[in-house]
Amino acid sequence: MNADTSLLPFQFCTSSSQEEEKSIVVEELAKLRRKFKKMDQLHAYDRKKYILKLLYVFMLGYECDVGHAEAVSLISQPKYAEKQVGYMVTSVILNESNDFLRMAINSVRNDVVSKNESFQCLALACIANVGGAEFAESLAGDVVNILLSTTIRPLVRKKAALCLLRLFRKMPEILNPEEFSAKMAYLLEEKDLGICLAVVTLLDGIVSVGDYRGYENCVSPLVSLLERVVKNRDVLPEYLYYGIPAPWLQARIMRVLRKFPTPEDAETLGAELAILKKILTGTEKVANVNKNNALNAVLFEVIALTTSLEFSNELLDQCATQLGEFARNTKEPNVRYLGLSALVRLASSPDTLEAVKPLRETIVEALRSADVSIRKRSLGLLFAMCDHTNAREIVGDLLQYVEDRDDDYEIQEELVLKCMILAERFSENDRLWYASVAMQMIDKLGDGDYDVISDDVWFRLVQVVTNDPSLHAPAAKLALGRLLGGAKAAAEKNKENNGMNGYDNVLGDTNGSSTADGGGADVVDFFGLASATQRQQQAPQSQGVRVRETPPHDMLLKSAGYMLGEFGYLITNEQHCSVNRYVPILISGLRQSNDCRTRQILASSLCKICCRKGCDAASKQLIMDGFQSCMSDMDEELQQRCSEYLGIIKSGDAAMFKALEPMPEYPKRDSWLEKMVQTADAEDDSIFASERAPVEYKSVEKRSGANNSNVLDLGAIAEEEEEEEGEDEPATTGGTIDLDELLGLPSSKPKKVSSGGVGGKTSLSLPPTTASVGSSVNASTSAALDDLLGGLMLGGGDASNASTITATTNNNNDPFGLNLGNGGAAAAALPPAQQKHKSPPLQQQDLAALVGGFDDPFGIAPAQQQQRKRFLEPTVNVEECVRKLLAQDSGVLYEDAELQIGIKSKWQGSRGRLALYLGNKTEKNVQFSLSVDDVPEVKTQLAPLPQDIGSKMQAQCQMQCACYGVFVNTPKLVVAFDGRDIPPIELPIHAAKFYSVAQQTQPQDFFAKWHQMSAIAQKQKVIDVNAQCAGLSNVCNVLQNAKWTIHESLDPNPANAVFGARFFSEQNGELPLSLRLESDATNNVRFRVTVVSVDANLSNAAMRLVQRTLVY
Amino acid sequence: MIKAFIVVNNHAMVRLCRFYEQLAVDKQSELCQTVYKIVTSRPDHLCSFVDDSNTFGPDTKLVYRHFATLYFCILSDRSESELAMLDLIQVYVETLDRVFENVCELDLIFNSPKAYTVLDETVVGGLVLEINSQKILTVYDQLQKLEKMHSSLIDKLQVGS
Repeated sequence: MNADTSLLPFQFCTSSSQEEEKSIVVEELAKLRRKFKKMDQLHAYDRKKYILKLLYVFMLGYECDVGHAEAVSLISQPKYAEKQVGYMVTSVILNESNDFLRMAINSVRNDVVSKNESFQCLALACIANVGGAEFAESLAGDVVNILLSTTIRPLVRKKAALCLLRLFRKMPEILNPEEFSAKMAYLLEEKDLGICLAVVTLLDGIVSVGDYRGYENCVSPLVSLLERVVKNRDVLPEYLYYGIPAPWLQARIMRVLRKFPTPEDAETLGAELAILKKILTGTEKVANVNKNNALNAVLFEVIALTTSLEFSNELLDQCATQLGEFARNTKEPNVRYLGLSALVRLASSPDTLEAVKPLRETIVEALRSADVSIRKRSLGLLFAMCDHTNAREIVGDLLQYVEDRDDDYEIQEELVLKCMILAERFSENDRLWYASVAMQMIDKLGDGDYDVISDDVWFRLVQVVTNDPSLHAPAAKLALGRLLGGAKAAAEKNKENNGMNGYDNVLGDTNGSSTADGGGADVVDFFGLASATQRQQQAPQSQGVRVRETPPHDMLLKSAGYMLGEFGYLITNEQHCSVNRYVPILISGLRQSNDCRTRQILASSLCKICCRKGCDAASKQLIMDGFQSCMSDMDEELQQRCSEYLGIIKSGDAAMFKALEPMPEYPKRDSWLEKMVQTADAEDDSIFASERAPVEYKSVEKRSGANNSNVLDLGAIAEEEEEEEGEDEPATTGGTIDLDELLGLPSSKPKKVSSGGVGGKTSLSLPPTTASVGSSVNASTSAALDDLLGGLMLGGGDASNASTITATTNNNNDPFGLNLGNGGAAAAALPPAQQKHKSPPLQQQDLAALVGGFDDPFGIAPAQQQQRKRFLEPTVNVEECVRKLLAQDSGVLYEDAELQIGIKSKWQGSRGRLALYLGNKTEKNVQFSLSVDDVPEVKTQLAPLPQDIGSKMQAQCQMQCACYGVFVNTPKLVVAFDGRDIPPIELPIHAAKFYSVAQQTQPQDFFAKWHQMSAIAQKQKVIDVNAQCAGLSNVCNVLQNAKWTIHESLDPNPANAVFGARFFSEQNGELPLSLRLESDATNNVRFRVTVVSVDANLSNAAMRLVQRTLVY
Repeated sequence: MIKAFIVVNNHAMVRLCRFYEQLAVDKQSELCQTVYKIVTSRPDHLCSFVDDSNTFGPDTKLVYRHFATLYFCILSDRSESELAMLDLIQVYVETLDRVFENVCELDLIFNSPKAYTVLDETVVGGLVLEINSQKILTVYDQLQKLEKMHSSLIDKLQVGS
């Protein structure tokens, strides 16, 4: 570029600060804007220069709202240099949805069909970069012709192939497989390898967007092409890359072949396998990095293709060996990474999985690489290769990794998730193993600021344990062991056994010297609960006990506390498991934990422990003291919980204790965690919103589904278990609470609602006053009940359980005067305290997470408004008011007996300022509120308002609005005045308000533009105008008032008139519109109106507004 | 398919970027900055690939190469081979080197149209058009000649009138 253009970058280079750069940009853009106004008069060189400056400013990251039309107009210039700049800037700055681009379709097409190959190239490249559906529609045929033409240079045809792929992606209908596949096969026999590469790329694109069907006939030519390159080396010297014949083409062909099924034709298959074998055995390592890259690129494709082919077994072992070597290659991280990636593919197929298994140690080693990319791959691979035979080892490896490196935050979250899924998936014969892995994970990583373990992990643990009665007691023991600090011992034990069979022994081993009685004497005292003397006495005793160095963290407290609350009573008789060993820890957690949820869960658990058998008097006292002290806690929820629980314990009412029975089984559902992994890769908030699903993961999931069909479906397993054990199941685990008995109500059979049906259809809410401590007995009992249910549900509620209760309450027609909302679909009984201070409703979250997500489990519908609203008939015709405001900027918007609303507005470009005047016609001070019901394209902002208007006074509200795009519907004003809602009033913010005066043009220019736009968006209607504005001149006046600019004497026919306008919006800048009015000589109210613009919506909106102004 | 081709220097200044998928301008610069942060945080001895679905979303991988003060980065979907992407960067840089004779960052600043032209002759619409540096160079030279011829013609005409 010449000196002048390069001056701008130079200025930027010398600018020292961001501000300086910005000021240069602002200055420069202002200059550009001025220049672009008289684009026609500019020297060709200058035009180019200014557009290039624009490009530079854009590249620095500044929004460029000028010059788009000018850039597009350069495309239609006849000279290559200008065209080139035009195309370049267009394809960088504009995107496919830009309206200016649509304006360029014609010029682009002219270039595509022109005989000048340079122009063709420019046009094709531009389409390939920014072409959208419109381009596909109008240009696909021409592009295909170029591709098929033998007389055109290969360069152009290559571009045509890639361009066609872009268009195909935008609109798959343009290529019909029946017709095009033959042409494709023909193209694959092309002599020029450059064209072949482009065509293979095109085929690749086509079969990965749609599917391979219809293109099977291309397989054989593909294999021949591969043969030609690899075997015959029929390649021009220019396609030899470091002596390798067209490695790119090789790789691409194999990539496409992978998308087709194994060829049925034996000859083709034979040829294919022979080539694969040749490459696989013939590739040697070389010193040159780039050559090595190319060789490996081919090799990886060969391996991928081999694994996807059937009948390739003999080659597979070779592949696996090769990949193992790659995975061990620590010197070349790229190769190692790709080796691991390829192994994932190998592991995804049951046939080849066996070949991967011996590499476990290598892969685990890669898990310790310094490179997070490699670590991630390694983790993914371990997950993919896991099956029944190696699950224990792999989970053990992962646990070991966590033990060794607890600071690897980059992959930890994923690691925990995957580890837990594997442990669950492959533990159907030994759920206790799963529980022990989960507890170990929670113990190790549950702490910390990084939240590497989500609550879902322990929710799922609870769910699995609860649903398997044989697990209850061992799980409680496990939890106790972890809580008391068996963590390290367990880990060591696990290491020794490798198979991790040491879990059930944890307690006995680690607490050998402790005694079962003695009121918590030998309990670890983290929080300084025990007195100093006690501690001294305790010290010698607990020498053999492995004591935690730190207090248990919140997640451990939550999960272990919950387990002990639920199942602790089952193990009280066993050695070292008495209640007094863990109650003090839980109590200190209850008192001192920083996390409200932990404390709430602990409170519920402690209450359960206290009311079950096996709780000694000292522990009971400890628990009651704990509750007592929490009754003055900062946290309202906890306060209330403790007070209610204390009430229950003190009452000693056996009926009350029934509410504290163990939780019933959960409905069987797939693990939430599995879903998390499946969706982790398909998150919507990705930068590139891709529609295609992640291929690799999918295949992994599919594989495990097929391979272990009975494993994935946890529900099915649980079902089987239930069938086996259903008969000798104690009634308590069924867990329906006899609510009638509890409430002392006449018995009515509780309606059991299936959990799938999302529970009862009632929302139970209590007046907040009953929540306060010390309210009347009746009220507090009901509150207690309510809260107990809350407590029950907290750790993991059961929809059917809750629904039983709520449904019953509903049956009894509101016996306590509880405020039952009608129509709510809530199964959760919300504790009043939560409603009071709007903390996130715990049970809802827990429940939803635990049971695996209902569709809309707790959408509590608002109680219907009972009070009838006053309604006053407006005293003006609202529609008429709006119509008048179309053509004028101020007037009355609305009026009724009590209120008048007037409006004044000012408009400029895409912005407007409105002032609303609200007049209070009544004799009193009136409260009012205003809001605007926005449409997406128009943003409005109301200035702060006074709350009331004095009698016979007027309040003024300022409002600003900005138009962001073409719109048809208008924003509405929502007014509440003196307690009544006035029906939404249409605001006079119409598209026409954002019209600006159109420049006067020459007739030929005008009609040239007219024809251009009429091709894009034209709207035509014959209308009969209102008698008041009959006659051409009247209509012209009205339209001019409605912000159309008349082009005087531009239309040759005096019975017609033409108008122009420019519509401004923040996003699209300025869009031109034109309107033609044709009068009927025989009927002075009949007119034909034609509106053209560059946007269909814009034309529609304009036409509607014209009709509204003229016809009423 | 290649989604974006970004060249960014050591100081987070974007020297060249081309997006082959539609993306709002602010997202584009945001993405450039994200890429910058990732590549500069990785020492040279680590592998050249980053697969981070949390950052880039599904089906997107980053392949990059570090030359002197510049990072050449390609964001592509899974259908592209990583090594092929590395080769592509190599070819692009080789070609630039021949165009500018020992290419350096300043060449990209002052002659960005040339760099774009080379890129456009290498990648079209996110797909690789040509990977032979000599062929790219030939086409590029033709285009330059064409441009010069027209320019001088126009200038003469303008001066004459």
